[in-house]
Amino acid sequence: MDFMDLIEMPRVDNVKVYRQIQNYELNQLVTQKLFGSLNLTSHHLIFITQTDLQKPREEIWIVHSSIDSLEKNVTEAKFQLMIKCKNFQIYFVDFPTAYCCNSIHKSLESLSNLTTENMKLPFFCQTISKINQEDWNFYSIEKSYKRFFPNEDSSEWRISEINNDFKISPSYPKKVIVPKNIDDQALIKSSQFRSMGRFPILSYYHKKTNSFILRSGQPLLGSSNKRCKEDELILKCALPKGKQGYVYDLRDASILKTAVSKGGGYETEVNYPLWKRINKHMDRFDQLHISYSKLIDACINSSTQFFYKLDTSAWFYNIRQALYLSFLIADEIHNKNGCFLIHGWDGLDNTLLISSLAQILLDPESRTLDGFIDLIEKEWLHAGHPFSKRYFKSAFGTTPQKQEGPVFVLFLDCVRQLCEQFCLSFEFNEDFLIMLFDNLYTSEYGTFLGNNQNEREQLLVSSRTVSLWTYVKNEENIKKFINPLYKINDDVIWPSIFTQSLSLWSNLFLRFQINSKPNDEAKKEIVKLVETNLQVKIKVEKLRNELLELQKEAIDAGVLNSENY
Amino acid sequence: MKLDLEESNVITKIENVQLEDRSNSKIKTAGLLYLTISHLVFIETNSKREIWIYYSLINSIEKLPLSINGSPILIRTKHFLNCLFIISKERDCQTLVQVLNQYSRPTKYHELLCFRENSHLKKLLDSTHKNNQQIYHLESEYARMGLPNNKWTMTNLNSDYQICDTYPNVLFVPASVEDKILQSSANFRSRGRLPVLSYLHPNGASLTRCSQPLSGFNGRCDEDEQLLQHILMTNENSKFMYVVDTRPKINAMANKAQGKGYENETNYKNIQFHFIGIENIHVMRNSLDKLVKCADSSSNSSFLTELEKTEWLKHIKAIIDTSVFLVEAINDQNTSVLVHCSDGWDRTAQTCALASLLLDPYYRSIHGFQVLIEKEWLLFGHKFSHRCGHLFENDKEISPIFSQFLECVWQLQLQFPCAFEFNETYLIKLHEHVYSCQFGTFIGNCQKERNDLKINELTYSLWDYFQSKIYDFINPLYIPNSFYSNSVLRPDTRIFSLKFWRSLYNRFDSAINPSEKLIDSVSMLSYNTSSLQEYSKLLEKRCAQLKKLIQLNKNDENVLIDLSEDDFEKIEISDKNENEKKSFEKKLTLDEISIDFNSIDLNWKSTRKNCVCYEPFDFASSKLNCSRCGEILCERCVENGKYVSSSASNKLIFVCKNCVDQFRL
Repeated sequence: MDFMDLIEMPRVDNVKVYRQIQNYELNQLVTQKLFGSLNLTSHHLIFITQTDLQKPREEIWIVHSSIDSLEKNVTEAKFQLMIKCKNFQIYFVDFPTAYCCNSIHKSLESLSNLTTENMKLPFFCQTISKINQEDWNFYSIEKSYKRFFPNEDSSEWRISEINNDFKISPSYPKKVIVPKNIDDQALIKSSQFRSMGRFPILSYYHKKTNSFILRSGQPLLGSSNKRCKEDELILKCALPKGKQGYVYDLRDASILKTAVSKGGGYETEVNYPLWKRINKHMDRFDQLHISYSKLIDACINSSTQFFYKLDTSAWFYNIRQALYLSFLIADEIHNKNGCFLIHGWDGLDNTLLISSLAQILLDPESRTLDGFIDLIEKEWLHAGHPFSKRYFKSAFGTTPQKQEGPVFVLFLDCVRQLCEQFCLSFEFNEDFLIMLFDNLYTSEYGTFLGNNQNEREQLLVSSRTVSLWTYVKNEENIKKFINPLYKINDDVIWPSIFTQSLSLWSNLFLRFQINSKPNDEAKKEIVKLVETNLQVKIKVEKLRNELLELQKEAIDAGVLNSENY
Repeated sequence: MKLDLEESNVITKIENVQLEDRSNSKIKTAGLLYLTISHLVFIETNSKREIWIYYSLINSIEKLPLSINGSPILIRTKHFLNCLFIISKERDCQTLVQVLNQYSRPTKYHELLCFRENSHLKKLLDSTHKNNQQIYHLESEYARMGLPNNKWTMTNLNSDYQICDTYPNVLFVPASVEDKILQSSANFRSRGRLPVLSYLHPNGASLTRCSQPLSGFNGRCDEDEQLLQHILMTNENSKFMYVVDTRPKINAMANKAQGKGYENETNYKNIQFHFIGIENIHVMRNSLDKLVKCADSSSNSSFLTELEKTEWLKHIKAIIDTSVFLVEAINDQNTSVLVHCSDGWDRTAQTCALASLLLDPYYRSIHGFQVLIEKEWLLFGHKFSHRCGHLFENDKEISPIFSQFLECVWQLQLQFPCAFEFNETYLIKLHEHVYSCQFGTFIGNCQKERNDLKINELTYSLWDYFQSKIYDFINPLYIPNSFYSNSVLRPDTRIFSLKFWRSLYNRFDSAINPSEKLIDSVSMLSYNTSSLQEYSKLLEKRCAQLKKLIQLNKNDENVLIDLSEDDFEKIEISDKNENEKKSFEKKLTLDEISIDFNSIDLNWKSTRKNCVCYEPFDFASSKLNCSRCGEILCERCVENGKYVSSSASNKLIFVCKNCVDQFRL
């Protein structure tokens, strides 16, 4: 299929575009009306205003894949298309005829819903940066292993390459960390007993207390009550003496029966005597998608009962729950003797959310920019979070398969809440998180393509597209993402999880409604103050040295001594 | 404010008291409870943490049902501190309630704290700071607006408060108007509060304020109508003016039946009449009660729904919206506005003050903001003592009108972080001391009453106290020349832009507030920068002196004398004593250099959980670094420290008591 087959009308003249823009002086939104021509290319909708002596030509570029939903409103007098984008921007387009309107609508419907990964933007995009293999290999499991176990010999864990051809578990990476005493055969057996072949693997090792987090898919007990000795052995071997094991099952206890009847299940106390099972409810990704849609709806139609709508969207409930559960895990790991196995259904969504948040609380490294990128690679990309499926549509859209679910958006929001509560302890800033959000849905970079490492390898992502981290690490860009007040904080951070402590992510969810200028001004001022402080510190250091040298010279010359007075 | 227990008059001590943690009822800390003549003090046995509560701040004392551990008593304060004490002996509990009832319910002004001897404030304010109680003269503020001019004049008609006892003794009115008209207008207005000038914008449009007219159903007053015409005429840029009644229309209608009401548009020429529904004091009081409950139930997962039900932010929005209406009329339409409500001392004060703050950047400076409060609130007779319940009298008069104003300002600070010279702490502390009765500033209900009480002579001024702690109140992000700081502020009043003021209503719930406070670290940073700048000046000076010494030694003296004379001037410019100049070689010693060298710590502590005195820091505590040792200190330790002038210039640098003692500063 060629893109051109989908485009009937590459250009329509006499089009009006309406959008809301911020009037900075009056600090209010005004509707901007633009007149010009609309052009369709393989990946973009480009609107160009008519040249006018008074106004410079303006262009609006909308990537097809950034379109979340299209609503056609054709009456006798009006031929209008409403374009809602995945980043919450909304455009209204008035066409001169019903025919153009229908034609463009049809083309955009197809172009914005392309499911073939190979046709996506990163494969066609000429980004400023060149493909850099180093950035594609920025993360490696060896790096994690070394961080967790600086001394390999005394470690009870090893790297297994059992999944090298993605056969055992297609959603797992090639290499995983497992207990040393468990051989690959046992892993294969365990993988057959776990949902999507996701046998228990090490997610995080807390050096300070030698406690750890494992994660997996649910065990496949089924109604015949199967068991798997090897799976039991993995959990038994993993747990050192004196530690209490907890299976954190992110599903409500009331639905376990249903899970069993569908072939899934849970770790029974009889078969896993050392592990205590705890059921904690988290909304599933499809429920979260509904929550997200309600949240965005509340933000856009905010005139009445705004707080009530926010509350009923349950978005804050999900943030609280996620932070609370990671808090409990961090507390057990750091202050008590707990070790954890986390899973929900397949271990692709909430499992990753909770394990990565717990790491952010526990591990100062994950609060640095590089460490955070590592965490995203390890806990989301390599862990097989289905990015392509979950972020195919944003808050306005759905597909019949209902595979959408903004789990990673929830993760970003949780991290932002933490950044707000610990404004000195994170090396990266809110803009970095917003940048990640934007690239999640539509990107020129290949990082979030596909659903797991297997798919990414098949697509040859690393040789055909540029990594998002290449963009981030560019000297000019990285400045934008650094928190000027960052000071390394070696402690575990304990967030506050009361609803009053949480805030709506205005700079993201209300980004096209609020005026961010006064706050940007404040951010710039902070950067300036930090720079001034640094300058004066350098100056003082220099003067101190100069003074010491002069003092020495004066003493040598005999013009200064302590009895002088 | 914390004092030394030894210096306070302890009446009684209660042992075996437990304080229940507000965020987790399972956690209880044991300690001792002291009752002094002015405070309730709880000292935790283990952490030595101290909680000091002024009796005047106590809002309610509630005995809860007896539990196994003893008798629980819940004390709520007006600045939103909730303490649940569990007292093991029932008799102690009775004593506590008895003492509190005796001391926390003053019925006469002279029983209030501010009239009592206060050695702490005496030490703090008498020594270092001039008493500038008279910070505010109405005339000088109007002079700042260019008054009197040919349009507006000052009248002494109220010099003895004869036409209106709740107005200031100096009033500004249109120059063209005769006293007779003013007199009649006052008679036609509720409590004599006739239309007078509040603020004059540079474009000539004015903001005037008054109370409702005594019009009833048909009443009119020719002179009052004339006065409005005179006000209208002062502004050449507009053919009409607005009269804004800030009440909901239904309330204004109800007042008609009592012989009061609102202006009839047909009687007043060229006015446009507007109702803007800000609710009355009773609605606001109930709304705050709900809000406090909502903030208190911190485990409440439906917090947002509860917040919606309190309607508090809806009221805040109404006040800001009204002020924005005034701003648009005055600034954008060049049209004057007359504002009133019922008596013109609640909603009128809120909206006139807020509109002035939006219009004029001056009011967003620390000094300007004090002037604004003095003018619109204190002098124009907002009944602080009634509204804040300073005395134990009619509950129905209490209402958080001024608090709402502070909250509106806070909402603006949030939206325009670089536009205010003062920070959030300033507003929070102001809120506290409006209720604390420790200072005379907000005692009484109008200027006349304060004069009668001899407030200026007998009490300390809050403004002086604030001046002594100014380090705590400076907004480090203030950019006086930026676009938003320099122009009319146009706040976003859409509901999602208005926030719940967590750091006020949950001020003492450290579990709810962020662990790291952004603005504190920025303040610390900029204070660090300025201290280091002083230090580098000192180092430069010492370097230059040493260079001179070495040079003098090396070279032929005859050549050098000319040279050195010039240099001496430069180096020693800040030294006052001329004689010292000549003997400066002898002055410089190794010890001296080393003292200077070590006069500052290069790595200040940025975050700490406790002060060196073990006092834990919470979100609202004020903190300051000692420039010498770099430690962060709590308010009380800061008061024990000292400001020393840097030897490079006269700038004051803070040094803690430890360092003062150690280095004999």
